[in-house]
Amino acid sequence: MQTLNDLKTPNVCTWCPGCGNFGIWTAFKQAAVFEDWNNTNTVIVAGIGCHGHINNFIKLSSFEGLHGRPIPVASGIKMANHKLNVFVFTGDGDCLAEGGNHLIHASRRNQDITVILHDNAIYGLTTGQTSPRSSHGYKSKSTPLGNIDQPLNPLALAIAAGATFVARVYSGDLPRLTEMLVKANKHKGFAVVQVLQPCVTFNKEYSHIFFQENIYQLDEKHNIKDKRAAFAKTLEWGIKQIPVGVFYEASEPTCEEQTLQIKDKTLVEMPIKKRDIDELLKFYQ
Amino acid sequence: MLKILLIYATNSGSTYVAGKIIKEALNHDFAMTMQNASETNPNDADNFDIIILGSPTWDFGGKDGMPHEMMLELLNKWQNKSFAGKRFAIFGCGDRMFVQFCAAVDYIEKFIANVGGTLLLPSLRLNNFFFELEKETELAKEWAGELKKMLK
Repeated sequence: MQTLNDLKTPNVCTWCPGCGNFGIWTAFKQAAVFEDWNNTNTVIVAGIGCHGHINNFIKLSSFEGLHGRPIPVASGIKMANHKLNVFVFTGDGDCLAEGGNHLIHASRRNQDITVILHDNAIYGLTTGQTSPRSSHGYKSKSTPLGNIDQPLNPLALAIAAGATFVARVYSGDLPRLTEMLVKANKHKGFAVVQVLQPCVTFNKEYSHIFFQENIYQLDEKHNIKDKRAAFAKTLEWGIKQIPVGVFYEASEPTCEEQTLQIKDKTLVEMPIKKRDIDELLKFYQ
Repeated sequence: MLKILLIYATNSGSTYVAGKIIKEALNHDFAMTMQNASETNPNDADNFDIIILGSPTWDFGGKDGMPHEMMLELLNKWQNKSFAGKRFAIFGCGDRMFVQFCAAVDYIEKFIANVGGTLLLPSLRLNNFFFELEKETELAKEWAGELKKMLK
């Protein structure tokens, strides 16, 4: 059985002390140890941003995509070998600005992929510009007079687009975050886990203490099968009013289950057909 | 069987993981409960024989070298409570590059002395936990082993 140490890489970590990425990193590695996610059964894909460096710090097969494009890469990997656990690490800028379109259509497709949305409500790597998750009025280098846009609601968007597992956790709550990553991976279908994480250097609004004081756990009174109730919960945001937990879970046929060509075998297990195209080339000469 | 309550506070998870290693090392011999400081009722301490406190060191209210906010909040609630005869052990995660390395541990040690508690053994100060994982895990296990010996 692997240990946390087995997942260690020699790379020097570049995250700021206290960064929420540490919580996500640790929770993921703990989950990997519990569930035996290893190089034979798991692939991780990351986008561009501080979160994207996670690829360098977890010793698993990984791919760092273009900005906003980790979901299409993950989608291709899953299509080629649907037996793999496929995880996407993406930031709020990466996933909701550059990659917003991919999130919507991947949700519709319901591939069995887990998206871990590192949400620090800012572009941290480029030193603190306003992102699609920054609050209205938020002042930053890119919006010195205050953000005139409303923040995007990624969970409402994911539910509306068809994601079948939608949840939110705080990065400093390691036991619940670890448990949630396992749960999201076990879910058959497209899972979106929004992780509220502070950018301790550039976002002074959403700090660790802000989340610790203002989140509350969704309890059993919340019916996770009820889409309307889930939507209502995604609209809550404010002082002592930030729900965390599973918002919505539905059992729907996945993309892989509906694709007849990969019903019996994964694509990578099928032989590559060699075709003679000389006749075709001659035809066009 | 002695009942031990391990209370941790964490931002990045290192203190939590270190706490888990300590808990696992003590699990067979003691009735262990581990909980987050933010989810701890001040009276929870009454139901346990020994309390282990773990905190990172951060800036708080513009002052460097302080315990995690949630640990501070718990300590503030304990301010007027008597802990005479209560046995404590303390650990913390920090970075030796920082002049206030594990200053939160010093802060908590002073607090325990002020409320009449007894420190069972020298506190554990872990350095650069995630990046020295192997070495620091061993240190945490050794420390838990020392604690076990003292209580046996």
